Amino acid sequence: MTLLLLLLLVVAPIVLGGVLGALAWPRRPRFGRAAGALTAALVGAYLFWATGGLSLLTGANQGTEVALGSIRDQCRALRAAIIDNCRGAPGPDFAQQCTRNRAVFIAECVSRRHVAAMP
Amino acid sequence: MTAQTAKLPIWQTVRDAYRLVFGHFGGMWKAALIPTSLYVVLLGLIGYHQVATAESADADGAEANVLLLVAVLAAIVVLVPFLSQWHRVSLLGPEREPPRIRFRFGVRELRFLGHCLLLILIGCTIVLLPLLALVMSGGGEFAFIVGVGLALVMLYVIARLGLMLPATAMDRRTGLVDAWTRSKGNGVRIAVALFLAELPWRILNTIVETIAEQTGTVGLSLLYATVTVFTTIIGLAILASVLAVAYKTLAGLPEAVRTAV
Repeated sequence: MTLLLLLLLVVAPIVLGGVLGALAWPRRPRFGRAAGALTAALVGAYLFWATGGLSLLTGANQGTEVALGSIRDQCRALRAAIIDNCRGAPGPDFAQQCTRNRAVFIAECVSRRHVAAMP
Repeated sequence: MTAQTAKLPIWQTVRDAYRLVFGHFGGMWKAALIPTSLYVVLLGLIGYHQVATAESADADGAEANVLLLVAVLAAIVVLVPFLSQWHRVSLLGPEREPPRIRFRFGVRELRFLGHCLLLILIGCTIVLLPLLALVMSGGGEFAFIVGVGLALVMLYVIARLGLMLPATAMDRRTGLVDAWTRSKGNGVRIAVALFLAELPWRILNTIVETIAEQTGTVGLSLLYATVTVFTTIIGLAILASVLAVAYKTLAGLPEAVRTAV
């Protein structure tokens, strides 16, 4: 399972990055492959770090299931509020609230993987 | 290459693109028939999965996101043969390249898919990475303004690099540098042409979506889904034609095929 995850999350993006890099620089395919693979690795590492993947991998979140569960509930409530605020918003106040809730939702829920589905 | 410094006429490009699509509407649907059918099946499967998971209490958002990503990728793969064929029809003309009911996925389509993915990844990198960094640092409301600015930058970059697609459809060796060079001095014009061509379909989609959401009936939701499929395919064909016309104007084609539009 770990090997499969490693292949999917690390090897596949780097290989894809190399292939796309070669397409991007057809006159210098070797440079393109290297640049594509490097870019994929860097962007992947950044996204992994930014979305809290590192702590998940190192087990930093283990033992916090109860707290995580309550945050999940909060995020679900926030999601419901966004749906109320954002769909058929009748005025600027609602639109502003919608934008604010969305930003909080992304920062608190999506980027920390508590609830990933953005309404 | 002589027309490289020429200015792309925005309205004429949009008009030519619409003329290509609506002047050969039957042909367009011929080319789109199999990819659209597969696209509809794909949408049906996603809808079925969403209904199925919504009923279970442990529905996880992460799973929904992975599914969405897979669905988007599958939709791109399914629509690539149509887009590649329609680029060729737009560039060579329906007389030289008559639209056919087929689902060809050869080397050309693989390269086309690669260039599509490259454009999507570049677009995502321009918008998502800075936005993610900004949101994580707590700049909530400021992030919205920056997001709009980044979206405009993305449109400009995609418009310039988008010239890779018609070149790939014509089996020409192309890349980022080639597309950037060919579109030099015309990036804003291509972006505006793409925006104007896409705008009516966006408005139509929004109107139908608003009606479907406010009434909330199953019939209207189905109508919305159907309209969305049609507008997506027509919108994509028009965007492909805009890029093809822009490519023909800026990069030129052999004399024999220059009179297609």
